[in-house]
Amino acid sequence: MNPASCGTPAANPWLAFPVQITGITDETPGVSTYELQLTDAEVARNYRFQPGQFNMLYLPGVGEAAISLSGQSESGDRLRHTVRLAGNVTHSLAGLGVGGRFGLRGPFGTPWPMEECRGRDVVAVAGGLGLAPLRPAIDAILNAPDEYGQLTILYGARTPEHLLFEQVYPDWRQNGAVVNVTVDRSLPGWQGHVGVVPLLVDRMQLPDPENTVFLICGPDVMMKYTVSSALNRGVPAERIWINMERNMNCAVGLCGHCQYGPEFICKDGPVLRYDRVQPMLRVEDL
Amino acid sequence: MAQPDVMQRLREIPFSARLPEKALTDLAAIAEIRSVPGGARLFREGEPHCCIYLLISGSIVLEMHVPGRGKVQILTIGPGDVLGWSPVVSDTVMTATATTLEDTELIEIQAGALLQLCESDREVGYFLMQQMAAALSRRLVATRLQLLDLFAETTPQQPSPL
Repeated sequence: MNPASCGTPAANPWLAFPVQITGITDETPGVSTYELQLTDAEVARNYRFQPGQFNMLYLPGVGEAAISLSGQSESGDRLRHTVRLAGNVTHSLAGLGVGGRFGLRGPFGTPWPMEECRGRDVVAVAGGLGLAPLRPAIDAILNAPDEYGQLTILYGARTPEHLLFEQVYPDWRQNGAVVNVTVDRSLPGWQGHVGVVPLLVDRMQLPDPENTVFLICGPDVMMKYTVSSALNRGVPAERIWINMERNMNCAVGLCGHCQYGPEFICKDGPVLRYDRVQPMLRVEDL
Repeated sequence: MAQPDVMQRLREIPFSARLPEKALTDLAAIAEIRSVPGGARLFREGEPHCCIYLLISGSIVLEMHVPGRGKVQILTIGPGDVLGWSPVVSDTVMTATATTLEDTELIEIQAGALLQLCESDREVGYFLMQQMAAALSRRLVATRLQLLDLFAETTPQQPSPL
């Protein structure tokens, strides 16, 4: 997708805009959510993103990292990115603190298919940090409940300590979503579900599978078996969407880092319809 | 004589939904619906047990005892799952302890009667064991996925091509 069509403030997609960190929330070990304000008022006013898109965060002298948007402030003027400490850029970001400044360009990439979700039941399946790119879609659905069917959120994490956004699950339930959470490994005191995410798909209520849209984000193997469970439950392949975030570098389909078969994940993805990428998912090491 | 709604319940559970009518009728004759309150122990690790269960609603936690760590939760069983197959596939003791996490409804089948049914009617036995193998296969895959520790933090092993 052309970034310009998604409301990128810049005519030049290489141009990074200054942002300031206005808040940091520690989520889980090694994972924090950064609230960012575009410092140029006009750029901030024109900036629009769609659920599922990502920005390139630019730390001068260090490098850039592609990070999905995990939401925006209620006033809409601040962007949220949930980041796991992984490499040079994210470690430098972690060293900045509130008030720190750096660069941002975007948004880039294909969004979740919110139009297709309209009028249908939606199942958002996430594993680990995969809940972050799904959160804007979840918020969009819960903010317009009359426009969508039943929202079910199935989420799996490594341990109870790694559950992302745990503080908002009660609100999601309060707003009508079914939220089922599982962990791969239990810890003492955990009273919730133990087991992998695809098991939740096997067991969930699915009254109208042909009219249910699945939005899936997590490690490849998790997505593969989640898709398998959804297909077994009668969900059509063309109603299953996966987020294939990987190795995005230039964000405009030029450098080839993120090439996945004939697709460039940064511009043709990261959100892709399952039936279109299914043959490539079987190719080892692609 | 089967309880009136056992047949209906068996038709709704994936394990038995596709069984031929004859197999379903025979299975219903040795099955019983049970309601169990939360916190009840169905069977205990290391002890023999006589029944196999198909879960209708509720949830059950499976725990194994690890010296020095105590009871470790290994899996939560949910609606549609098969539970406690040890007495059907072998005559050994149970490999985990099963406790209901909430009020739970399940179908209880006497393992001895089930094996007898499979022996007396090999066609029914074939269908039932086919379903049992499928359930075991699903559980095996789920266990493998747990072992893979997919959400562990990893760093790419391949260097950047540029």
